[in-house]
Amino acid sequence: MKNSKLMILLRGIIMENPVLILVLGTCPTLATTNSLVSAFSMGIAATLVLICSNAVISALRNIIPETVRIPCYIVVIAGFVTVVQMLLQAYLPDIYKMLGVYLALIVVNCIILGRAEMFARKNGVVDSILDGVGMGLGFLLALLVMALIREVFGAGAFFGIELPFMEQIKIPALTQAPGGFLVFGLVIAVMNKLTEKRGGVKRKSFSCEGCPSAHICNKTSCSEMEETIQDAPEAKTMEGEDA
Amino acid sequence: MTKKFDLKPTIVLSAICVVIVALLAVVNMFTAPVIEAAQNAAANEALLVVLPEGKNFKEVDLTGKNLPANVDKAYTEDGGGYVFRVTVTGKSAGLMIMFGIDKNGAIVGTKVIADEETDTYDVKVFPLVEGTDGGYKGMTLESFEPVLVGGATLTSKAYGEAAKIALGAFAALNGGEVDFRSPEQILQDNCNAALGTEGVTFTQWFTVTAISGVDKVYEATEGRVFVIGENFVGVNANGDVTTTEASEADKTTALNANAKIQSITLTDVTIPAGTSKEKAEVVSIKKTNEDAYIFELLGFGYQYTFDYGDYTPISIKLAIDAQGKILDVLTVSHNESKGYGDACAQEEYYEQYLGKGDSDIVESADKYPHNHGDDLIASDSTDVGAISSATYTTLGYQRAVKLAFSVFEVLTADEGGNA
Repeated sequence: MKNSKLMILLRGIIMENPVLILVLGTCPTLATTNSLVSAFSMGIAATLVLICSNAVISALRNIIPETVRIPCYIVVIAGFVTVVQMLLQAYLPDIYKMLGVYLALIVVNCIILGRAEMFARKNGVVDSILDGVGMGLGFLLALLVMALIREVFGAGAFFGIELPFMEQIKIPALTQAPGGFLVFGLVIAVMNKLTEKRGGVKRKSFSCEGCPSAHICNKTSCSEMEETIQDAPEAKTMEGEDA
Repeated sequence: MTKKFDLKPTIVLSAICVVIVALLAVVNMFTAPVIEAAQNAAANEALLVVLPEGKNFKEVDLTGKNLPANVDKAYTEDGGGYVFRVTVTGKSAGLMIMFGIDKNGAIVGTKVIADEETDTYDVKVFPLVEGTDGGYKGMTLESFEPVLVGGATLTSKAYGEAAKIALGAFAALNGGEVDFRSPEQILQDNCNAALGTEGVTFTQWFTVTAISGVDKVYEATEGRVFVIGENFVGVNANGDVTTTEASEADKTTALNANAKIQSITLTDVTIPAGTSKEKAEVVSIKKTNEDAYIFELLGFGYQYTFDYGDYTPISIKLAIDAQGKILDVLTVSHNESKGYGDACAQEEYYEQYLGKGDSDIVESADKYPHNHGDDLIASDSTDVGAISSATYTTLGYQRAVKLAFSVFEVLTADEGGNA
């Protein structure tokens, strides 16, 4: 079955959600999800960077030599993050202050570098943009789900608006680090349950070929893992996916 | 076969860097003015609090301006006014205050930016002096008078010190000659000038004999400096007057005073038995050839009362003349609470005792017999030796002083002297 553009877009939202399935970008996820406003802001900022960096890296994929691909990716990503920072600082200073150090940390967000490495350098510009949109929306969705739980049940508020009926039953610990981890774990568990009947994660994404550390790891372990998964009756691989 | 060096990666990486930098430069072109305007607006907002009429503030580079280190920042504005940010130490740790000064050198407004003062003191002081209607409004360097608040003297003095520094900074930046030295520095400089020395540290001589015509005496190994009115007259270790510009009368006074000091001899005195007192102790007694007694005492203040493990008593040195009046008193060391009982180490605290006799000093506990310092009623601020909000330190100190008088009475009774 030919891989559709829609499938590329949707994959990042549910099946390969970067936060809840691939468990990438956990640092900003936990740091910015104690309020819906900051979660939304972080999600949008990361999505913009992801789309732009995917597009540029895809456009330059045949030019960038293998030996300097990571530094090139970093320069591109850092450039776009800095652009977003400057724009926020100028036109949305409150959001800029709210995101603080986590805005700059988008540069080292695993989602962005990971998608550049795993998709953008192997696919065309349009597909890469769609992948960026899908992954970005998936990241945003995950942040919003986390933030909804933490802000409503932890702070008793919704987008900063106090909820009087939550005053007596809110659990302030949910807005702190331990609560964040707890919520994160629960949401991942729910997500795993929802996706297991659909074949779970596409294991090929974790195959040696797609792994950035393939050249230094013990390839025997990855191969054994793949064999085990392929033997499982529910395991399905998505057709048309680049190896 | 040698591997050919490949320039392509370097060129590609460099090219990408150049393009990204160009992109950032373009974005910066649009955003930098907006960011700067927002930052200036935020900074201006803080400055307008103390100088509401100020327009277009600009920070002043203080390099080479010879202002005291207390002045952290200075801003000028189009109307000739200035805003200074000054940091001083008050009762506890530190005060950072902003002062708005108009073009005529008068304070327009003040605002505390950061303070580590004890809550009781800043609550007393700040409402009286802050804002554009505070106690310092309209003051210039010439008309300056510190606003002192009862019960919060050190904090209010610190605030005043900061205000004076700000006014002095304004004068200095507008071409005036301002002496920014601290009172202690001025004192040391004057002593060195009088004795013809440099960099010598002088300490105040502990008074064990009354010296007429002299207000204060400072001494160092190199000699003594006598403060006669506003004049400093030095006498070196050889007994020669070193201050050539002093008047003959002052020179004579200084020489006589020096001779008198040198004539004082001290002998050890045994502490009479049975003269101990609750919460006070006599460590040693010396007697001068003029029948004055010098006591080294221990007072047991706050820490002792509450039985803290590594308690250190207040160490006090006290001189009583033959007529039973206090010649001098000094807190040698203490470990009382910071912001409360540590006031016992301040010179302005000792001054309460000078010239006082036994009957002038009433232990605060005696005034409140039901109290005995056990609850938190502060001693009456009019009591000699009272420290506001430091009842236990006050009692510890007063009891030590009273003990000295008790022992003095015993010693002079033994000698047939005044009781």
